[in-house]
Amino acid sequence: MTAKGLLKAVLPAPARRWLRRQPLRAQRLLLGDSVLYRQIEPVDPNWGGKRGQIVDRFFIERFLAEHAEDVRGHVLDFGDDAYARRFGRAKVTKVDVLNLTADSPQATIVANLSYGEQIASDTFDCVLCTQVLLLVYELRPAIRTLYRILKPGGVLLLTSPGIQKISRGDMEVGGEYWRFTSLCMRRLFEEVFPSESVEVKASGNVLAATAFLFGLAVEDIRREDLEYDDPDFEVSIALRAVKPCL
Amino acid sequence: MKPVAPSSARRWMKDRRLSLERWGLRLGIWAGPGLLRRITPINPNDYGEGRGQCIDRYYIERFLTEHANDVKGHVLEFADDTYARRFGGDKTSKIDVLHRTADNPKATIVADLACAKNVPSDTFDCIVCTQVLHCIFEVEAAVRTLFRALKPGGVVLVTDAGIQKLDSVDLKNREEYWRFTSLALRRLFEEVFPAELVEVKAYGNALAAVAFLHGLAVQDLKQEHLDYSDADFEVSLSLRAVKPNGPSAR
Repeated sequence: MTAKGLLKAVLPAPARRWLRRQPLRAQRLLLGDSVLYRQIEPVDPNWGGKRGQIVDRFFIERFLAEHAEDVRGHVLDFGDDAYARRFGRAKVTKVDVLNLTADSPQATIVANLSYGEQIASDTFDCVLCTQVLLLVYELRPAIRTLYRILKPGGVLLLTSPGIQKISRGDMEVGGEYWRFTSLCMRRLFEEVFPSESVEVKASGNVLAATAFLFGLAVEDIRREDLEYDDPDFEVSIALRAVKPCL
Repeated sequence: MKPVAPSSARRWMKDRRLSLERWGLRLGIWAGPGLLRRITPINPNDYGEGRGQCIDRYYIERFLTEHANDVKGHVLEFADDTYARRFGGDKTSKIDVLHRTADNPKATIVADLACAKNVPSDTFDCIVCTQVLHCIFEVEAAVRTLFRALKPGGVVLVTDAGIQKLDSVDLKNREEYWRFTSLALRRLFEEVFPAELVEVKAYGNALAAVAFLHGLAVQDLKQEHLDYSDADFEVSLSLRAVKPNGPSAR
């Protein structure tokens, strides 16, 4: 019997889980704060993805989980269909995936949102537009497209960052342009959607921003610390808007 | 403490505490504030001006120093005339100060840059437009106004934020809209100015970004750390654009 097998046989599951976390915890202690002050490069250049869940995904997925009921029927997702499937589950009848370029294997629609004339109007019950708007230079035409392609009564669930480093990959493909404030997001969408149907919520605090910029993961900080929202630090901004029924 | 100690003594103690904290930070032995444990900024009160020079001001003033030669003749600045005086010196012949509301005693022009009927055309040799554009929702219109207000051959020096915390007062006044990337700033100006006359530069790195968010000051960091430029962390952005000579106004 291997040592691992022995431990497995002897220790109850919670104790084993606790043990598994210790190397990371030790590393975190060593990493400490003092190192961060001399840390001029991010700890993980891959946004923290190598260390655990990326910080902004915590906010995005919390928002989508809250509004999972909206993810139903014919859903449009961007880049891939992961969120449509995960939050829509059986409620989803059809998923389309929009990508700017044809290189995404899952893409069923290749289009630029600002010039998306080829996307049929009044088509989707739900559009999941996460971390897309920051990549679009012509914002107003893109928002009009989002409105146009929704069915009456359809729901747009959108997220975009307020504080974030540059994504090199995106910068080199289509360009990366904006970080919004919640106020900006509200005004942009109220130009197209009825204002009473637009809900905007900003999440984050200085710790979330620090961890996110340094490439630390959700697991590196205390979860309850992520739940605290400081209005001065809008790390992630979420918006829900409904196209009115006729 | 406050009622007993005279203000000079209080200031002395505050300075001692700050310098001790700074040495601790630099040596890495004492990181008192606990970067990964605290959910509130080390300095929640301001952008760092209470501790020294703001980190974004360091980049802004470096940019303006580099282009101090452009600050001459009839200069327009926003909210007050500090930079026009400091970087223009004797080269300026007249300074105008633009403000959105009439409650600023220094303002000589009261106008909203986005729908600026009151801003004269072809007037300024130089416009110093620091940390203004992110407060304007119709930023494209504001850029057109900047172009219009410049004399042919005039220069606009722009800086703005890429990573910055929100100013809750500005947000309440509905004046906090954007954080730009260098590419956004370039495209906004290239729609109005000829592309070859637009120069954009980004400053900052991960450490500068986090320190700035925490309200730390220039004096809290080592200079080489501030000067290190990481293209993925655009804390501050600067742009210089020239209005072409001749009747090419678009």
